[in-house]
This record gives sequence, C-alpha cells and structure tokens, in this order.
Amino acid sequence: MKIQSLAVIAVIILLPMTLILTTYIQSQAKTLSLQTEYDNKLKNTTYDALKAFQLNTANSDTSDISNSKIRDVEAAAKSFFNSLATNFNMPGYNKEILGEFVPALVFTMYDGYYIYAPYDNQLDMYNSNKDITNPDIYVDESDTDRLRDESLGTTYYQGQDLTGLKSYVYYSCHYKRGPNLDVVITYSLDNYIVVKGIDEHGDPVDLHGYLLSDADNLGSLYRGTSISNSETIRENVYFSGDGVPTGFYQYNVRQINGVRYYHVPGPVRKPNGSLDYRPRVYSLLNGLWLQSNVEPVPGATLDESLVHVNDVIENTNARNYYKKAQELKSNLLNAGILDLQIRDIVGWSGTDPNNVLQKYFGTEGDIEIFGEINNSGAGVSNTSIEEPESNFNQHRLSVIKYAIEKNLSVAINNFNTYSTSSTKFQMPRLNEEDWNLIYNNICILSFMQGLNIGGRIYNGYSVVPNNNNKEAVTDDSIQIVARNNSSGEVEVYDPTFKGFINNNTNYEILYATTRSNLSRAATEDRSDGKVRYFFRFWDDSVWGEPDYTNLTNVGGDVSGTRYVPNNVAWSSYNSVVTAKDNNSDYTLNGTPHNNIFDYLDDTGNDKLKQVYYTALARDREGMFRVENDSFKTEHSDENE
Amino acid sequence: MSDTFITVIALFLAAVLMFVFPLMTMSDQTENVSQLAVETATKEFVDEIRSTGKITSDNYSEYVQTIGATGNTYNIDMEVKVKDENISKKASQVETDKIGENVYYSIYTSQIEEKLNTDKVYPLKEGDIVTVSAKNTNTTMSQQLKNFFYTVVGNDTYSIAAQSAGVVTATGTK
Repeated sequence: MKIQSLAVIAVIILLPMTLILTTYIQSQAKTLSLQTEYDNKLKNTTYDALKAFQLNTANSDTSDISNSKIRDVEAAAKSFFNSLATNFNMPGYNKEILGEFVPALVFTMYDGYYIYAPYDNQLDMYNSNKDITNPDIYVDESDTDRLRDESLGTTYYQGQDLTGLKSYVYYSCHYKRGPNLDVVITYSLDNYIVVKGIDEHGDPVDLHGYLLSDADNLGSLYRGTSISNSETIRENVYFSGDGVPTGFYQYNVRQINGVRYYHVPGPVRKPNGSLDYRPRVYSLLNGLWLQSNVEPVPGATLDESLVHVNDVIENTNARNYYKKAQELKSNLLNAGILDLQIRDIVGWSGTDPNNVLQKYFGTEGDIEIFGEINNSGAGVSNTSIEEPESNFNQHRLSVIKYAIEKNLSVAINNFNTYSTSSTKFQMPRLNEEDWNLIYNNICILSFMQGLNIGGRIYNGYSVVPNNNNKEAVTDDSIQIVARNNSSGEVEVYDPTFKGFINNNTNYEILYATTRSNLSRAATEDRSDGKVRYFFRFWDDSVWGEPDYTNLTNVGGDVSGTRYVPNNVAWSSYNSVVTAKDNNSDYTLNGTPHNNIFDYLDDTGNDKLKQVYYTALARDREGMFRVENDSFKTEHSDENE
Repeated sequence: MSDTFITVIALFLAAVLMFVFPLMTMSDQTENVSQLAVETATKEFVDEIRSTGKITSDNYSEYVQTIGATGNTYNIDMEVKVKDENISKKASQVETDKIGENVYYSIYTSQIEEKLNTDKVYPLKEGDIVTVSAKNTNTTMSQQLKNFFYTVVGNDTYSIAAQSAGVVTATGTK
C-alpha cells in the first residue's frame, strides 16, 4: 500500500473520531455549565423568597402568631415562584406549571419547620352523609373521586391536588425509660426546650425554658459575671395619637412575650379633651397604640393581668432568664429527665446495624443528653450545656437532622404521585456546610428537579439562612454599642472587636442587643407623610435625659411635631461593615476558642461580658414563645 | 525532479494531517476542558462564599489547587464590594431617605489575601457582593499552535477565563 493511501485511511479514521469527541465533550461541558448556572439561579430565587419573608415579618408586630406567620410563609413561597419564572426566563408561567419542577420548599423556623408541597385535598369528613348515587355531586360523572360539595361552598373538590403548607413539624424526640417516664422533648435553634409527657413518678410533666449550666438561683450571676438586678432601657419611638404632639419620644421599653411595652409618662388627652397626667403603659401593634395600664391614684390596687409602669421601668428580663433556667434545671431533676440517655430514645437499638436511628444518634447508649448541665462553664476543658460542643447540642443537631430528613424525603418521594413528569424525584444529599446553616439559622431550603440539562436531569437544592428575624436570638446576633473616646462617636461593634480586649480604654461599652434592634428603623411620619429614619437605641448618659416639659402645656395644640432626635449609632466601619478588626474564629492573642462564651471569659473585659450576657438573656426572655404564660403569672410569682 | 517535489509536498501534507491537525484538535479540547474546570471551580467557590458569608483560606487554596490542576497558571482576581450600611454617612451624593440606595466600596485581591494569611478567614455580611475571576497567564499548547500557524498575538491574551459573582446571602459567623 502506498503511503498516500495510508494517509487517507488515517484521515478517514481520525477525522470522524475527533469530530464525535468534540461534540461529546461540548455537550458534557454544556451540561456542567447549565448545572452550575441553574444552581446559581436557584440560589438567587431562594434569596428573593427570603427577602420577601424578612420584609413581611420585620414590619409586622403580629408575625409571631402562627396564622400570621403562615401567611408570611405563603407569601414568601409565592415570591419564590414569581422570581423563579423571571430567573429561568419563563415569565407568565404560574406556580402550577413551575411547581412541576419544585418538589418542596422548606421553611425552617425556631423549633420546627414547614414544608410547602403538593397534597391531596380531603373533604371526606363533610361528605360522609352524601348521597353518592347522585351524579350532581361529582365534578365529572365518570370520575367519582372528584367530589364537589356546592352546599358547603368549597372552592376545591375532594381529592384535588393542591400546593400549600403542610402542618408544622417540630424538632422533637420521644423518650421512654422504666415503667413511667415517657416524654417528648422539642428542641430549638438554641438551648430552649419543651418537655411534655409523664415523669418518672407517673405524674404529668409540662416544662419549658432555656437550659443553662451556670446560672444561680437569683439569676444574678452567670459564668462568674454579675447580671444587674434590673435595667432601665430607653428607646426612640414614634408616637402619634392620644392628644400628644406627633413625633419621636424616648420612652422606657420592655419586651414581654414578643410585645414591646413603653412607659409613657404623660400627659395624654382624655376623650373629653382634658389632660391626664398619670403615667401609663402602651404597646405598639402594627402602628397602632394600645393602652395597657394606667398607674392608678395612690393606694388603689393594680390590675395583676396588665403590665405596669414599674414593670417597664425596671426591666428584669435578664435576671428572669437565668432564674427560670435554674428553676427548669431543678424541675427536670425532680421529674427524672436530667439523666436521660441515648438508649432511652424510642426505637433506638444500639446493636442493630440496620436501625435507622443509629445513623443519627450513634451506637453509644450511655451518653447522657443533659449530663453537662451541672458543669461550671469557666474553663475551656469544662463544657457547659449551652456550648456548641456539649452532648446536648450534638444530640439537638441529630434531632433536627432526623426530623428534617425523615419527613422531607417522604414529601419529595410523594411528589412522584403528583408530578406528570417522568423524572423520579428523590431528596438530594445535603452537604455538611449546608446542614450547619440549617442547625443555626432560620432558613429557606428549596429543591428543584426534573429540568433537562442535556445529558442529565437537573437535581439541585439551595439553602439560604435568614440573619434578620424575630424568631431566635442567636449567640452571634448580639452586637455591642460603645463610645469611641477618641472620636466621641457612639458606634455599633461586633463582640469580637479587637478594641475591647487587652484593657483598651478607648472604647466605653454602653449597651448590647440584637442586630435587628440596632439597625436603622424607618417610620412614616403622620404629620407630613414622609418617611423618617431613626435609631432606636437611646442612652441618657450620651444624649441627656429626654425633655418633656413643653408637653405639660400642650393644651389645645396637638399639631406640634417632635422631630427626629439627633442620636446616631452607626455601624462601625472597622468592625461591622468590613469585619476587618474583629477576632475571627474567636482567636484571642493567638489562642483560638471554640465558642463565644469561652472567648468572652478570656477577654478579661468584665463590662463586655456583662452587657453581652445581659443582652442575650434579656432579648431571649422577651421573645414570643407559644408555651409562655401570660404576664399575670410573673406578678403572682413575685408575690409568692 | 517533479516527482521528488510532489513527494515532499505529500509528506508535508501528511505530517500536517496526521500530527499537527490531531494535535491542534486535542489541545483545543484540553483547553475546553480546562475552561470548563475553571468555570465550574470558580462558580463553586463563589457559591460557597455566598452561602457561608466568609472566604476561608481553606476554600481559597482548594480553589487555587483545583484550577492549577489543569496544568496552566492563572491570575486570580477577587473583589468584594462591601455594602456600607451607614448610608449617607460618608457619601454625600446619596439621599438618606431613599430605600435601596446603597454605597459599596471595594476590597481587592491583595487585601483579601493579606487578611486570609493572618486570620485564615475573611468575613462578609449579607448584602456584600463578591466577584472572582481567573485568567490563564501562560501560553497554552493550543495558543502556541495557533500562533505558529495563523495568528499574531500580543502579550496580554488569554484563552481560559472564568468569572462568577453574586450577592452574599448570609452574614458570616466566626
């Protein structure tokens, strides 16, 4: 054979090979880049849903109440689908069509989560007495599953596929031990637990509260730091109505069960036009002022069910937090719950390798879940129960993971029965980094599957945490207000700011509270309809005591306006805006610490510790919790 | 005489067809694959930063290693646009009472790397914008072959480039 023929044969073989290879690699490349592109779009979409949720909850005082919360969650799901349509260039498609690709949306909350997914509408309950031979009651005569009951006026028919929120799933775990003890413990994003069931003596038990190792009976000492008896906290607030000039006032405030109560010193105008000089307590509900209690004339008895002026002026939230933690500890001990072990989990079997609970809770049955509650927190080697490394916290994370994976995998699998697509829907495996976000934050998880991306079917998910919420006060949501003595400005800092260590006297620490309380707030000024921005934080020692003297002469003049006060507490550029001068990883002079508690203990800055522990306690104690008793109980406790 | 001439031409053609052409195609493909690898790694790196709210030196060196494994050298540019929460404090052109008007100022690669070297972590907050781009700095085989045949190029060309950017969705915890 001539060399020319060899060349021709070689070309005939090589050319198609390279062409095919090129096309193959190109299609693979397209698949991969589509995959990352869709991941990116899904993340943006989820972030939009989160923003919608934040906006709705931040501006609502009723967002704690569950039907209001459900409404906010559903609104967030709606914005998710709107944003999905825009991001994936599918405008005009409604959520029913896009829903084909979204097997589930998960909204994790403080102590459980919602799943937004399709379900079967059930009207059976109402239809048990129906004459099923009457064809009129069916949407379609041939399909007897699709029952319509017009007399009930139902919008949806029996068995219809609807998409919506399924019932709330708690992060709870069931324990049984001995002849009596049988309790369900609900965990949360922090050390708050709810215990319900039968204790070891056979008595019913219903306890709730925060678990702390190191609090004392009076709530005055925590981790060696003294917690002040009561605080007087003042806040800027926009007040209109009740005959006082519209505008900004600096009133004492206290948050109780999610509601902020303000002490209004007076005077206010009575309905008959005369002035009432008695101090009173108001709360603010979505822009409306609700009067809680008026301090009566001396000698008269107070209504125990209402919040009094003194309750607001003397804010004992922080002490109550530690005091109640100590009470919870002794109640748990009496009920025989403190020595619960992993082996007491219902269904757990240490020896059976096929036991699904083993995967989550481990094979070691002897681990005492609450064992570390008696440790003293001082010192790194001695883990206290509220530190992230404790057995309790590890167990809590396992419960959260188990609760989510168990229900979510079922929900996503069930999606196969609703979807018309040929894709087999399965829950993807979430990586540890994403689990970490879920364990510590209120999150939105979105799943998207079934889109064709070339060689494969897309199966992705996205987790976006919500750092600005009213559900939980996390360790790292506390920020510090301090005065920079060299510039004279009051600024907001992170607790790990380098200026607070090594006996630096340049920063005078004033106060601490959550990030959302310190960020700039906006309100519509009713006197001129404009939006005014203001900072809530007010400190008499910096800006002087508020002056209400001119209000005693309000007389007929109720149109006057009190302007936005000149207090400013900007975020520090070095600490909050850029985080450039913070000690990352809780590293203090070269030594890393596992958590903020150990870090604070080592700073040697007593004032920092005090304001931080006080703020964490105060803000947690003021949170709305379903299990909280009314304020009345606190009064009766004090009287006992 | 003419026979020899044609043989030489044929040999030359054969050499081009049998060696250079496949070599070019293969090097092109290698470059495509590298391009893909760099693109994917860049997007993953940025996504990680966006969801965790921090740049860690571990993630950064993993990223550098991943794209380095393609056999080329790269110039990595990182930019963080830090959102200034204190609108109107330092920028005069922004209206204080307008929602959505934000000022960003930028931090670049060298500043980020410096912080990573000392602290191992560069924390970001929700609302910051992060951009990462990578361009190759060496001349790849495919570029060399192309240059040899038909292109004249300057110093500053690159054939593998990837960029990814996004809003940080979480405030980084320690």
